[in-house]
Amino acid sequence: MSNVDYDVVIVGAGISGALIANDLASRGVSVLILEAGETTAVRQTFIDDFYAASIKTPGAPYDPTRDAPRPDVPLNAKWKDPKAFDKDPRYYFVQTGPDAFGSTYERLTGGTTQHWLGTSLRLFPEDFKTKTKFGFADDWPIDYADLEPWYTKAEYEIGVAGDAAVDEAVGINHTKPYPMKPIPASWSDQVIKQKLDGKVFDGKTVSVDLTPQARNTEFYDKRPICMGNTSCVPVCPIQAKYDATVHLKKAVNQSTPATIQTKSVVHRIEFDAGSNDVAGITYKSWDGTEHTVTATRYVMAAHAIETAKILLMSPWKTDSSGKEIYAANSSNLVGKRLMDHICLVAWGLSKEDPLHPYRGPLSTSGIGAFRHGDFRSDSAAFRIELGNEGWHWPTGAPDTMVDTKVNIDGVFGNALKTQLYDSGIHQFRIALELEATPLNSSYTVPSTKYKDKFGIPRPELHYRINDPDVPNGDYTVKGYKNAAELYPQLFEEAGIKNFTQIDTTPGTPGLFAYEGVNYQFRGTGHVIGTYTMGSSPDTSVVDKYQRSWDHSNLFLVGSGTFPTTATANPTLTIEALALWAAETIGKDLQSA
Amino acid sequence: MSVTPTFYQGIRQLFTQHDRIMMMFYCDFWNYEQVVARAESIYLSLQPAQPGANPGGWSKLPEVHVMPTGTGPWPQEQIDLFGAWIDAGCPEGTPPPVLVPGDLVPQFIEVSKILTGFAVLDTLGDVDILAQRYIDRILASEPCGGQLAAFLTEAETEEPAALLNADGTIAPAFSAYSDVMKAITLAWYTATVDNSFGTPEDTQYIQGLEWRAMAAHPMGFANDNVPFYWQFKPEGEMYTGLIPWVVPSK
Repeated sequence: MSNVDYDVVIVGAGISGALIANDLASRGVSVLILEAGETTAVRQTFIDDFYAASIKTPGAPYDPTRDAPRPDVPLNAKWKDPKAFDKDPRYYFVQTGPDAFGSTYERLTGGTTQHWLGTSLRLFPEDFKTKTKFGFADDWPIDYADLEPWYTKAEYEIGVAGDAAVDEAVGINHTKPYPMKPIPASWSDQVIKQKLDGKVFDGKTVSVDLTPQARNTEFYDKRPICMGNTSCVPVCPIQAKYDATVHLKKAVNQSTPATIQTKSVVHRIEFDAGSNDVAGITYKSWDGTEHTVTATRYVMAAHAIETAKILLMSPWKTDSSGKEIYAANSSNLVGKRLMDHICLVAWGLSKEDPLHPYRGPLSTSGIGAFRHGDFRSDSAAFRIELGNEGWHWPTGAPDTMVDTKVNIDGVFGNALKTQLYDSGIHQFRIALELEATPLNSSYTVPSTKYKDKFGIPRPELHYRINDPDVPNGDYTVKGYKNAAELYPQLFEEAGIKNFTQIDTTPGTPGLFAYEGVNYQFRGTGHVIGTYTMGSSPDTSVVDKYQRSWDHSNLFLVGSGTFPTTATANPTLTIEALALWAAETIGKDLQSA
Repeated sequence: MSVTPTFYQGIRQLFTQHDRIMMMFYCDFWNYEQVVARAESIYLSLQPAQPGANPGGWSKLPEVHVMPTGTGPWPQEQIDLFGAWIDAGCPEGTPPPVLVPGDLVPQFIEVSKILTGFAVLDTLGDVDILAQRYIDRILASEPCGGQLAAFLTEAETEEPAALLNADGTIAPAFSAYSDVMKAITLAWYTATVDNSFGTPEDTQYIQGLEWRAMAAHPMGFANDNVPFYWQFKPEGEMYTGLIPWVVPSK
């Protein structure tokens, strides 16, 4: 194996790639990271672009590119038009439905942590065993105790501010406290907490608790304290919020520095005939030239959708009937079980107490009562996130408020100022984020018809949140219905007048009907489950170490390996699993 | 015999600023080339609703589901006028002259104080520079650009308070200037004039008054000196995320 280019080639310079690269580089391993997109620009450019953006979506600061296109949130009926991409590269997905996939990712150094919120929740112990405990989906091949040391390591690597006592009160034990004291609750959180804590809804006692988040409350890892810019998604102006460029920078400064090669769009994993080992990774540079690079270990860290796509573009062997088998796919599960935490965004006005939103990190508290419990044998769990940005997410406020007051109501002067104040300070928003159902009928494949500028297939999504043809196929939407029935009760108790609306125009992204009632979901950016982890090569794509069952020198990392979504934002679990995989690879190389 | 309308003389005025803002992602209704390119489609969408069908209005534009409901469907004579313009070959007409901004700034700031409700507007950092930029942008935008100079002159002869009724609506004497009064107000509040959901220039975004009106700070820009200020209830301008009335230049 001495004639290879690197010890390890990693595809993707996002969170998993950055952590693994740094860990391995610190062990003296030679690492190459291939990144499809560009090097992160100077932060101020992102901020300027965000200030100037017409609609402040998660992708707003990140210029769309045709070399490494990335999706944007579907705003209108164009989500189902594959040709919309020709005019606007943000329509990167080829979506067939039936449901609109509402989440996105970034293709540049740092990956989607450029626009993540920073929420760093651990899973509940029961989340790893939903089949055993609730008869739902599959168990993970690991349990909480296996992952706990890696959660701790991840929290210290990226810097998480939180209160371990909040976790331990509900059975999520810590061997070490969080490295930083928690981000304080917003004024809005405090008002709502006073009204809701201790109240019982659907048999669950509610508590509004601080959210652990990768956001500094002290000078940590040479990064500043959060100043409450309220733009965590899509960009923290001062990098008080962790993003993966932190570890990319560390990786290239190790004594055996990692190499990051951008503008390199990987499109095929190579195999030698008759061998199960990966023999190389082939990519196209933005100048159109094609190259292959070799290593002894390979790590696919290109995001759940891109990694699955590359695997399904990489012929490995043919079976006895002559059918092509693609990389890592002897289980035929690659690309399947495409999931997201769909969410119900609800908003209203506090009837009396001012909440003073539009201040602080976008979210500082949540309600965890519905994340766990025996009801999960019937329907999906969900987490409730409390927002600090008023009605910005659902309605585009305050711009839309000003537009309505001035252009439609014709109100100016003190009356305008007063009315904006009265509305603005009372605005409240929550998001109820649902556990997803792993469905083989929800999947992604490389499009055979629609390609990017290099002729590389665009991801084709056949996304669904409900499958009436399989047992428990409506698990998530049943939970959604419960969430939709719950939140008005929470609003009532918290003194919030409900203003939530849905757009029932046919074709609206996220619109769905269940038991005769229309609902509208949004994506949360938590793309999960396209190369699932398990305890058998027949029923999963990777083992508990994230190693492909089919190819011992190939690791697939990221949230694509999660067998189930549970209700935690996935990034902390991604990090924990990535650090674990890095150790496995490191030991592998050492013993070799 | 009516005169054949041109884009600048008859058609552009049919599209309100609200229409324009809400449909900007589809087409800029104040841009001649863009409207010509989509004229047939726009005309179709303007047709009255059929019984049982979707309500008339912009919603029938292909691929569009967000409609500006504020001003409602067009009356038939407006639709006919638009149709006559298409039949005439979509003539452009003469763009209105662009006025050269002069010493409009002081009077602009005076009326802005009334229109925005921020009596201390003139103590805002960079207020002269901002005012000049907004003037430039308003002058480049129709129909409000053509009204600006006359409006400022007329407003100067009145008591400032005479611009508005007690409930904040425009006083009858100034109703002809509603477009420019809206533009001025939107500029100060949202830092946008001709493109409300569009591109705020330079640092204008972080100086938008909409945030201060809500005792908050622009998303993406906070410079409060109090650590973790968001845990406190704002008191006046304390704990809003901004240092009171200090807006740094770029």
